Amino acid sequence: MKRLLAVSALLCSACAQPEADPARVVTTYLRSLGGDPLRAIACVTATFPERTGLRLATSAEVLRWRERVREGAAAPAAPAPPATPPSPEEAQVSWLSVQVKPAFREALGRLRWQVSGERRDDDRHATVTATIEPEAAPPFQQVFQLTRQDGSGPWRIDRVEQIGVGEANLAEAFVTNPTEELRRRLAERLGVPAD
Amino acid sequence: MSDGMPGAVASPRAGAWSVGAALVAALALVGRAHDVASLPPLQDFDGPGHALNVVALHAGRLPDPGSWGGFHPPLYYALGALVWDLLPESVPVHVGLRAISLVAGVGLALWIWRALRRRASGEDALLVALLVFCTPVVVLATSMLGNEALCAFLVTGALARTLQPPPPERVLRHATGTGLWLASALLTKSTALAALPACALGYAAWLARRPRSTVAALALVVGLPLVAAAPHYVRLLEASGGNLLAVVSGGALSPAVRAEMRSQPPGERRLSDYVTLPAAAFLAPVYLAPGMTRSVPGLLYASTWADAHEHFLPASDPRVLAAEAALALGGLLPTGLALVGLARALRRPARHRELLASLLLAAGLLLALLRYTWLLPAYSAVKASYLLSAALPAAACLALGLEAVPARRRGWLRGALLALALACTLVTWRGWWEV
Repeated sequence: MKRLLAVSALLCSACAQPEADPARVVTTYLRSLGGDPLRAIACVTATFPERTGLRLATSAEVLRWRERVREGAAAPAAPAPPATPPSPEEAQVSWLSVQVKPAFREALGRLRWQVSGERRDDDRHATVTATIEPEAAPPFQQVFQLTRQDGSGPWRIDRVEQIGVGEANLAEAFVTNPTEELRRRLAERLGVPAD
Repeated sequence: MSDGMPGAVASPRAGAWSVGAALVAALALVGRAHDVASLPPLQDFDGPGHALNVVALHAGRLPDPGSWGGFHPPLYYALGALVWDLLPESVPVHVGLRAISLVAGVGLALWIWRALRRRASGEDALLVALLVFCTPVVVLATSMLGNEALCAFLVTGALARTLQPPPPERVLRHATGTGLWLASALLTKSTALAALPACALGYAAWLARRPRSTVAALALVVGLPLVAAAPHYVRLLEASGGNLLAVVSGGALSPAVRAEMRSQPPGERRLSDYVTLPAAAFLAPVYLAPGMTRSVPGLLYASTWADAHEHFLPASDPRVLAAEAALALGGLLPTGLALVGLARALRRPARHRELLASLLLAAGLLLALLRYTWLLPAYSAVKASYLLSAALPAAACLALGLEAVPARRRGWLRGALLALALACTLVTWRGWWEV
């Protein structure tokens, strides 16, 4: 049975069309965020969500948080980093879960983006730059570093760097690259508890 | 249900009932397709956990058993990975995954209709199958990505085969077919384990006077699924150090699931939780209503006739909550009828021998769920969707209960059940509250 499962899995991966072009991977990623999160997570490496630092809130934490918001709790002056780093699986679930929020998709709907440059360093490393243009905020750049195993597999986004992000375009920066750091800055700006 | 019972006689208005049921069925199907496409991504029950299993198989690897949904068997996810490849890029992957649940839900309703048609009147069979399809718990499970609907379809396919004795010369072929259905079900969700002894008993009951055939049939019905699914379950047990809870819950292997389950109310179970039934189960059927997390029957009932866990319908909108309460109150009618049917079946078990396997499955699933809720005292462990594989016995009991009503009064009941199916369709039609 294990063999059958492995064969099925191989069949699936053979059927899947690995993205041959780094710019196309970035295009698929940006197009899929929020609306088609499974296609988006397939564009990133397995360790990418871990680096975002996002973690899951338990039901109890969500209920407590709602209570604090109702009571008008102020955001902490200096947001504290999470006590323990998320596990790889928690990071993946978190990265997907953050895209469930309607506000996330609404914010994505208010921006345009354009892939503006691609550079291949070697068979395994490439850099793609995209310009993000929010409707009502300053534009910023997002630099994607992509890798691929053994020089012939599908390209996957491994790291993201953002240039030109400030208070005015924080929400747009978060929805195009959701990380714990940006989430906390956003919570602080919105005046809601970050934890 | 048995030959010669009044229910088997078609009513003079059979055509009208069938047309009415067909119209509601068509509307329900359109509504379900709308729900599949309109529910926001991954808002499904354990959506990200199920989705990551598909992502893993799509990438050519088995899901990590220690991940959120990694304890689930792989069949649904493997199908999902194939659907992913077949879909054009313009269709979101999660919509394709939900479509599997929708197709399984239609298949489930068709199985029920086919199984009941042989025993009840045509219009009752259609009406009961339709009501099952429209019941909120089925609406939710068949609009969402996840393995529950597919498992229920496969288990029901196996169970339906035990309703009629196979011809003597085709016993082995018949048992092989049933074994393959069960194997597929067991490779979809561990809930199907309860169907193995139930189907085995069904064959044993039919073949009691033919011991050699019985042994061969049982070997196929039980052996095939166990052999097929053994690698997955052995892998789970190895990963968990032999913890049997790992077969049915991610909490045994995933620290994130464990943390979530521990954080949920009520946090501990008391025996009284199994006998209390708060009014909120009917008047405010959501888990945060007073007394609901402390009532297993209340939350089970509410999650059958409403979206008790608030995954699908925004109960914060008073109109939605009122509509859900109306469904929960309306659900009392079919629930009462099904209990009458169950009493009839239990009073004369010999006369309803064909239901033996189905009823045993329902009892097994219920007991397993009660045990599960004791081990995991969290509100999300109390979900009627875990009993979805018992849809056929529930439908059979409802049909039996309907037959117990004198023919001259049955028209009113049929009308009420049809209206309830229509109401369920409309209330669960996503987005009506935004109009």
